[in-house]
Amino acid sequence: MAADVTRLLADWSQGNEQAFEQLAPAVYDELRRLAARYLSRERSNHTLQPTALVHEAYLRLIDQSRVEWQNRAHFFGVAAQMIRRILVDHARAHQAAKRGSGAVHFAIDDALDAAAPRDLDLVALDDALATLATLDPQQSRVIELRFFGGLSVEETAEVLGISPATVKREWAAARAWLYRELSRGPASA
Amino acid sequence: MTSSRWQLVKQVLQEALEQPAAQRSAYLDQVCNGDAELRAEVESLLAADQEAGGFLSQPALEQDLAPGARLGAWRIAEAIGRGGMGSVYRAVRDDDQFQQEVAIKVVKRGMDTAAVLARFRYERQILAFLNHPNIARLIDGGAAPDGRPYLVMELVQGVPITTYCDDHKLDLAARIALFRRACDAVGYAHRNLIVHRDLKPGNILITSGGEPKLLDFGIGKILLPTLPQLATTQTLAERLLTPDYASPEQVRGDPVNTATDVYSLGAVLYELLTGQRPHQFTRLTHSEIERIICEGQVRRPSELRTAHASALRGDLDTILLKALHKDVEQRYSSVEQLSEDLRRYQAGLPVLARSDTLTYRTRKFVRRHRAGVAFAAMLTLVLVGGAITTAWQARVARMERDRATRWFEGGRRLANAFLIEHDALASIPGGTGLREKLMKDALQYLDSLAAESAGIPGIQEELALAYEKMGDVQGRADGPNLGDTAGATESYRKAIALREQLPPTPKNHHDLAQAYFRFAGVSRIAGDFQGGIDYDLKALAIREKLFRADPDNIDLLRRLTASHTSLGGSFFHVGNNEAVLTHRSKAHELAKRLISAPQPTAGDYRLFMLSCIRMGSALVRAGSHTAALRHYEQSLAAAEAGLKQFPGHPSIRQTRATTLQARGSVWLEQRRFADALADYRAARDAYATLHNADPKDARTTFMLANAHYRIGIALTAAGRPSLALSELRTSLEMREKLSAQDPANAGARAEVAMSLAGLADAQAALGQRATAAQRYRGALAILEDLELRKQANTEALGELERVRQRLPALGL
Repeated sequence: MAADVTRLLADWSQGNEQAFEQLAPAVYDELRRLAARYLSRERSNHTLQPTALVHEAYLRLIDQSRVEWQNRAHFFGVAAQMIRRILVDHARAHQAAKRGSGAVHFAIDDALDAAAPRDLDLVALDDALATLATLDPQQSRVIELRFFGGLSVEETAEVLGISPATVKREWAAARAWLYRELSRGPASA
Repeated sequence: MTSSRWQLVKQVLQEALEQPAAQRSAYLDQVCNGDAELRAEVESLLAADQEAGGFLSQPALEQDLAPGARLGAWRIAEAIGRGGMGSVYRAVRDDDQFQQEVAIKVVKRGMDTAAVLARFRYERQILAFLNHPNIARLIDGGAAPDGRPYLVMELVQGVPITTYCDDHKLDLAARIALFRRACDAVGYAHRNLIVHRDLKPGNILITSGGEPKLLDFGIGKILLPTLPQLATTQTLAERLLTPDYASPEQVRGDPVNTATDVYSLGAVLYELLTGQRPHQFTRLTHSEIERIICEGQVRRPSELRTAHASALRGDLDTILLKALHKDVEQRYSSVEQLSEDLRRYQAGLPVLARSDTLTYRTRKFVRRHRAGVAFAAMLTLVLVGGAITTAWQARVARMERDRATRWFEGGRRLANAFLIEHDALASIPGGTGLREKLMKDALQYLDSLAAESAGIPGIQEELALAYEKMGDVQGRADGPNLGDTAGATESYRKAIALREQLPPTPKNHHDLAQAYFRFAGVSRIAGDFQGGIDYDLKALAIREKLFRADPDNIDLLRRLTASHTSLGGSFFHVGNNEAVLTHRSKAHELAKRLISAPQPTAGDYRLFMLSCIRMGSALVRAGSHTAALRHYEQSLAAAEAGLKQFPGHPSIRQTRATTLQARGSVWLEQRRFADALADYRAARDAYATLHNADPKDARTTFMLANAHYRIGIALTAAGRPSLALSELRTSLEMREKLSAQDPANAGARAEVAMSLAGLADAQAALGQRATAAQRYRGALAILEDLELRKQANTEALGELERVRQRLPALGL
């Protein structure tokens, strides 16, 4: 498993997009598994930090002796996407449950409810980010890495190969655009 | 909007955001140049930026530990600091045992949790001997729910020594005196063979009463070894290790020793006396730090522009430069040496560092002295070790017989004292490792005495007692143990052989029954169910006879109950249902008498609860769910009564969890999944708490692993196999580890197989047929092996049958 992921990362960082298609499910499963393990503890213990999650997933999935920093950066990129997917999937499921689809409710759902941001429509944010990605892929990546991946400005810069100053400028513009988009509501997106 | 249009909007927006708010309008006038649409777009985004406030400012999942959050037995009160290694919190013990305020260091993400915890467990035993009023104690350690390791330490209210000296405007002499007291504490640790590795003002606190307190002793060894793996970007290492006080050998990654602490203390003293640090770093890159620390000259203190420059010239210059010498051989070779030179300076005596001829002789002396220091430290650590035995044996040859006997008696009393006191350790969370060490030492001592003193009255009985206690620590069936079944079997067997030779007094009979009983328990664990039954019946026969002679004896009543319980268990394993019900209802009836007696103990509650659980499972097997559930309710009611009387008692809490587990299984059989999961999860959380309190206790580890397993199979049954995977993997990991630690434990191997099969079930349900088949085959191999060895109980045999049917059903 570890060797596979390492190889896929290497392929992907050399431009093989198919490698990503195989990489993503492995990372997604591992993150979800870790999240479930952290979250299925006592309620008061919820301290789900994306960076800790990602790091642990990284340690588990990657044969460390064979990974270079470039790949590590890529990994954090994949992981941020996966956290986004986990959270948004959960938010969608939650909306479905409210509509009365009769889905069984599990502790991990409760836990994600407790851990995820309360006053933010993640589904709408996800849609807006998708729109932003068509206008400006880099800005969408900055938001994803920082907000979902929990990376710092410097780490984000490292992953994207741009300067920290650029990360800050992109962040500010993207944040303003997203905020406007979300306050307009879905119809005008 | 098109992408190219957005690039323009973005550029203007970003420029505008960098202007002061008042100048933005003028800027837009200039840039938009009549493009009203562009201007409106940018203005609307600027407005959004103003309104956005904290929008997206917190990462999606980030949460710091909030007051009230729990870590193991501790509850967070507040965050009190953030350091290179992580965050520090003030916390209180969160159970009824006692009120204790502590500092908890939650280690930054990125540390390898498993390695940190393994080192913590190892170091804790050594650090337990570090008992000095000026050293803050390391109390506990564990992993936070997000996987980060944490360390619990004595909470110290104080300020760094540098700040304290400045705040109190201490003069040179007072600073040196205070510093020397810190040296004493470091010297004490060195004599116990513990090096600090990260001494700095922030770790040498002075309390408001002017007492020095050294923090983080032993932490360095636990945390710092992970550095090389982490130093991918070469910045983490620097943030963790304070370069201002780090020695050349540390920066180079060479082995550290006590001289490393001498260097760091020298750096602290340098700062105390001059107000400046020995080195100035312009850039914090690794190469820069290494170059300056390993090659840069330390500036002579008296040449700095400081208030005390003239006082520093001469001896203090020499002392500081010697303490900070880059070559370990040229440095003071002990903290005592440094402190002694400071004393000499203050007393006006010639300092040792000054004389070159003396240096040589001093080094020679200290080398001799160091061996003595190490020897003294060994003696303290070993307690009653081979050293004393050897000394005694050597003396026997020379001494007269009666003097030798006096030695012997003294030693025997000492060993016995350990035997008695080690029982007290059983009830302390975390005490298992310490018990093992004490036992080994005491037993080794008694062994050598026995060899030298055959025929001395009383020794056989004492030896038997010692072997029994050893067996208890190794693998007693119903108490905290180390999971060494083979070792326990051996120890109990030796005890029985000794006891069977004793004269047939009631006391000796009583003890013999007890020995049989323990042996039966461990036989059952080893998979020898018939052997278990034989020895349980021997114990029962003796106990019934004794009880007939003394029917008011509560203690005997307890033991009788335990015998029936144990027998019920053995018959359960061999599938003799009739005998199971006979012994279990007998045990249940006796236990009811126990908790109805005037002053039931916590153990009585536990016995009663166990009798309910066992009755329950026998009834489930007989198909009578309702009656079983009634027994579980009785057990839970007894738990409530018991916990009211003995708040937080670990074995009542544990037995309560076992009850929930059993009830969960009834719900599962009735396909009431939500109820089953609720009970299983409550049980798992209770076991996790107990497990965290004493991670070396194999018994709670088994139960925790089982709880994960049960949750997993319940989730699969409930049609959520994807959620089941993580629980089953956790159980498999834990069980594999337990089984590897204790290869003689047949039950542990069967449990590995069950986890494998459970995982395969979930994977099969998810359509992962190839992996599922692989797991089934793994389970099959273990179960068939157990069957061949006749070590499989009915549950394992049932699972074997099930797996044999499931595998071909995969259609591979």
